[in-house]
Amino acid sequence: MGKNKNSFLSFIPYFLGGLIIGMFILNFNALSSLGSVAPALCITGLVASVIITVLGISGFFQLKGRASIRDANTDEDELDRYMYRKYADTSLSIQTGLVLSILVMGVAIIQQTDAWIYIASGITMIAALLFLFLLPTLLPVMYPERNLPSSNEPDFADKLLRASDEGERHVMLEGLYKTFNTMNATLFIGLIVLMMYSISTGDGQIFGMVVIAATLIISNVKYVLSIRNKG
Amino acid sequence: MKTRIRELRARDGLNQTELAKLAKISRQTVSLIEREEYIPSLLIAKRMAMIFDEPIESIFIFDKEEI
Repeated sequence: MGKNKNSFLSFIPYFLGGLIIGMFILNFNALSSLGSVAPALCITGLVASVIITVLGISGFFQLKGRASIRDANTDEDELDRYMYRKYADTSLSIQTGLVLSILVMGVAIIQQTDAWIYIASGITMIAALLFLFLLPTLLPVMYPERNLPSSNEPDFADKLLRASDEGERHVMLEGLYKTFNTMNATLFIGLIVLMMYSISTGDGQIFGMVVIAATLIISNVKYVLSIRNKG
Repeated sequence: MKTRIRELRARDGLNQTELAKLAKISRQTVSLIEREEYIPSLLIAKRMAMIFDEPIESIFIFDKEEI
């Protein structure tokens, strides 16, 4: 009961955060003039997504090159540490590039900006998607002595989790739990911001609010259902 | 929990990767245990004890309050 009370209380800062961010945005009237700055925003977003995706792709090839060069002089610990961090950075770059390119393409289509913007963002999206699927193919090259599943096997993610040892799972659990809490907080803030924006401008964001609310409910139900039957 | 793994590795001339291979775990897990950020399972503790030929309680040292 005490834990539930703490969970409930933990949402209060997010609610207040949403209110403050919403008031800040409305005060500066930034979103209501989004239409007029959409082309500039699209170009900035496109440049950012291209740079981030290219960095990710470059990381992919650096990792591939470094993983295949091993000799007697190689410091195994240093190489493993480098590959572990590089893989995480590359994965983050490609994921961010993918999300940004989809966002730019969506805004460009909605705002009917120049065609080259959505063609370029579409190409960036395809490149990011391609390398997102190619990235796990590096795992057997990075860790040849480990019995890791092939990326084209069905249930690859589940098999990779089962192939991880207890320390790796511990790191993943901590990361995922922090991510889950952050996602809950940011979605909650987003819901409050959209609500305030809708009320103040009369530009109803009901669909966005429903999508955010559904995402919040589904992810929390999925989490609770997956832990409640383990007691 | 305090651990003597780093000291014992140095004594036996093992790097983290070599110890990880002997203990059938990843180097990341060895690093986590060494940094005292993770308490290993009994199975891994037993393997470490066998590798270093030391009793488990001399490798993984707990304060009285922790037990």
